[in-house]
Amino acid sequence: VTALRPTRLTHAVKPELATSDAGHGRLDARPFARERGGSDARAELEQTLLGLMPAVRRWLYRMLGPAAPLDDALQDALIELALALPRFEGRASLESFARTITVRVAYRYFKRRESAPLDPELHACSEPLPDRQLAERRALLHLHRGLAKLSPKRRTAFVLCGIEELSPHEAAALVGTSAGSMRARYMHARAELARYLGAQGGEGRDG
Amino acid sequence: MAEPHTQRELDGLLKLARAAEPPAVGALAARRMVRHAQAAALQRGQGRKLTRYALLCAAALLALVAGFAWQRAPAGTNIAVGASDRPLRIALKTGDSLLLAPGSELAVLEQRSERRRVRLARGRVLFDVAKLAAGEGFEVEAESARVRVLGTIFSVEVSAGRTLVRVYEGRVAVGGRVLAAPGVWVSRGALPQYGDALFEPEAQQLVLVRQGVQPGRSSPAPTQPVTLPAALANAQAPAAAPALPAGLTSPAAVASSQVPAALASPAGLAPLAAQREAGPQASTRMGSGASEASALRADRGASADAATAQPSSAPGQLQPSSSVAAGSAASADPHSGPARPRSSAPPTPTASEEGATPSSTATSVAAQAAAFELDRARALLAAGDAQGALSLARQHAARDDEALLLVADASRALGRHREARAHYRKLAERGADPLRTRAAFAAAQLSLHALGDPADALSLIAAFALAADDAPLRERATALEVDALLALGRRWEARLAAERYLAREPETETSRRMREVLGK
Repeated sequence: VTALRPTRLTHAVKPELATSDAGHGRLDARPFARERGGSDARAELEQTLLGLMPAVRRWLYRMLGPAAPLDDALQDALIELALALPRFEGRASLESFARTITVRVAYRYFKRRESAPLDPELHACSEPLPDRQLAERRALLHLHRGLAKLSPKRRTAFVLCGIEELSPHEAAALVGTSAGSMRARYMHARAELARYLGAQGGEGRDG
Repeated sequence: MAEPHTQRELDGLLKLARAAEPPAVGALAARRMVRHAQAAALQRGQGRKLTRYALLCAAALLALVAGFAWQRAPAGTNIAVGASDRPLRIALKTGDSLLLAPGSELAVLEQRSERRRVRLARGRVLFDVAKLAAGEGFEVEAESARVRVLGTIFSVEVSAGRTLVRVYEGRVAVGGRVLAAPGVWVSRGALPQYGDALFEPEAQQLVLVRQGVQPGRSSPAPTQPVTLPAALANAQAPAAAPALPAGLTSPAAVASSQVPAALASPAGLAPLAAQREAGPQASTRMGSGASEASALRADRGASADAATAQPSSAPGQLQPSSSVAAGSAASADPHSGPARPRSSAPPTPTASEEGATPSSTATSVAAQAAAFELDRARALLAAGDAQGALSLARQHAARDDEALLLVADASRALGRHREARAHYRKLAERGADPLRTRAAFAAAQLSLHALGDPADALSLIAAFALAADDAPLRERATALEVDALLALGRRWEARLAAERYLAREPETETSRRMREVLGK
């Protein structure tokens, strides 16, 4: 993992973005001036995309769940980012910028019919799953099954406020709504999910 | 409101979701995805530019069409036909049909039924005016003349400061505004039905140009059905319209060259004339003021009786110019941008391969391609497309353990349990940990739960030491062993295995079931 280059926007980038788990890529928060063309700009854009990629993948995973075509969504998000980054003027943090685009891409995938989640064991991971991990995966599948039943707005609110632990103000800024609306959506989403879990009981968790 | 324990359960799930991480992506795959994204963004950016340009063209075309649409043409709308364009037929909402020759420019000033007024700036226009009721009028203003119509077919041409009026059917009254003596009434008696009236401001006189009929002599109405020449009869014909001469020099010139055959000959008017059952005698007059008004009144009365004019074409038939048509073609299918390169594209050698020998490079590329296909197969399987995953992974299953595992998983997802068990077993025999353990366990699972063969499950657990103390799947294999023993009716051994399980895993989901086996 390489360190961030000191730039005027570096303070706005969370450390988790800078320290990508894949270890390939430096996150440079400098605005991508359109006029700065050529191979340098291209290489810089590539490095930034590489730096953003783990975070974007994680956001998408949390938004869409394990049953979604994560690679397709990630590819779409990267394309949108590659299109949008040259227009990034540095008014917001790069994280907010990227997350806004990611949420927008995730919205598109909300509308797609998700395939039935497979048994977690069939995800072809190279490590065998002990009981505890398997149970956790099944519980996650159960949660995302419930999330899929929410409206896109409530689902987004639940993921941003509940899983990502953003404040309603931050989440509202990403989605482009008011903090009050975001808070209301989150509360409604929680209530709806709790009702779903209550109705399902323990029986649907393994299915 | 949901119950508290459900809320607690939800909070627990939230914690799990926060801790959950997606499957990691390899560095090579990540770099490849980013490069694909950059290339796709570049293409899409260009596509968006084209789309924007096409939308602009479409908007311009729309504005053009809307401007030309006669129904919505406001007063003063200019209509111009380029010299190289095709003739343009337009119809006013009052039912009048206008055919603009190439190089013409016309302004529709008014199109109320009681008064239609157009101004011809240049070029030549053929007018087929609908029957006029009492109080209605159709007026053409030209550079040096004003023509009032009483339901007829005529053309007005403005060229080089002269105005040429040709009457093909019916009657018109012409008031030359530039004439020094507007009150002069020029009468040749019964004017020819097909004749031209040429105004020459310098000469300040009206000259009749013969069109096969001697002036001052009435001529019979055309009886032979004829067709309009392509230049004006078929506005959609792609052929170039006849070029208009730059100007008129003499009546003879008009007779010989200025008057095109399309309009000069009676044969060129059949489609229009055929729609009129009987055409009144044509008369061309020059004058203004009271004498002209009285003449108009008298003519209108006669015209109302004789003329049965009908619009000769459907309104609103506008022909876009070739350049506009090309613009619309360019704007077609704005979404047909270049396809986004999916990860199914063959990989390209990376920079790290530069400098390698050709054979090693080829091997590396092949390995990358294989790895890439396996990634794709995994994604397909995770997305539920087991058949696609099977097709992709099968090609590499002979050499690659991961591919064989994918084949087995896909077969299992497709419900081909025997096939899947055979693949798992093969992998357990040839592979290395952790794939070996996982494959053996999956085969045992299939044997017990899907194929109803607990003995085979037990033999697999024993053969691959799945329930051994150091085995990664020890607790699950032990639980599986308990189930297999119970299925075989070996309860005592099952109890022993369950005790072994509980000794190590007292707090799992399965431990409750193990306690039931033990009767606790």
